[in-house]
Amino acid sequence: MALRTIIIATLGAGILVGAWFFTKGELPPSEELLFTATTTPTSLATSSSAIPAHWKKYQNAHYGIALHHPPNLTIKEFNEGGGAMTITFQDPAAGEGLQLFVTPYTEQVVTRERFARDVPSGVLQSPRNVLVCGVSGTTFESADAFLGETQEVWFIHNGFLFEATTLRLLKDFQERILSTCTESPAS
Amino acid sequence: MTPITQNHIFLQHPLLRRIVLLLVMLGLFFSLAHVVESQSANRRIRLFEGFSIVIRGGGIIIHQIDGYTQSSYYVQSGYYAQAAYYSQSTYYSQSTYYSQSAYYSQSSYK
Repeated sequence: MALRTIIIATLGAGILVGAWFFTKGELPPSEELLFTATTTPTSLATSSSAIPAHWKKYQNAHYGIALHHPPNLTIKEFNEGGGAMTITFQDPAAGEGLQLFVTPYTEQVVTRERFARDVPSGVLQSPRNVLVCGVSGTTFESADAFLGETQEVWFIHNGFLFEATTLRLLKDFQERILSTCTESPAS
Repeated sequence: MTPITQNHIFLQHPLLRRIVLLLVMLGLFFSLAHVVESQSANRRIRLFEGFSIVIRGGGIIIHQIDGYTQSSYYVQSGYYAQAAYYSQSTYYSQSTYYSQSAYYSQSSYK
């Protein structure tokens, strides 16, 4: 009798696990995909893609990216724990800057849950698919309690989620820098 | 002869043993994945950290608080903004103009 019970319980558990796998692709509304790739990604930079000769190169082998930036920008890296890092490129005196937040990410898409964690304001407007660092990403308008209106560029690359943020007014500035981003051999 | 209990039968059944082992491994894997995912850091805004920002009418003013003494700042109407402050006996000024087409020019000097 006990053996029969164990067999039934095991099969029941197996069915539950199978059901979980089966429904995994059908995310409930709270976890549905944030971005839907309904349009063909376009290049970030609208102007000439030539990188000015005097720009400096920033490379991060761990996250597998490299990009160029104006020489007046100061770069700082902040270890956020859990393999995450925030990299700031800024010149406050000139009113220029952007930050790049990178975190390990096992998903292949950005979920609403992840978005809610990183953007407490919940603002997501005018999303547009773009090509950045050799992969497809999304740029959109958002808002932050400190920065005010912001422009975001998010993409998933090499097992990491990248979130670039700047002031809405510096949208072109950010896109110009990110347009120079290329894949770099990961360490 | 040692009596064989039902528990012994269960443990010695190859198929059931594999199923249980598989379920345990799956449970451990997804639990670990969930823990790793839930412990990943949330984003923190570091951009212009330590600075204060004023945005009016499309203009921007940034002045540093720590280590700097703000001299003055003001915002003109429309899309024009200007800021100035002192830092270690050095005068900084920033003026920025924004048009509707998002074109802007700016200058700063010591």
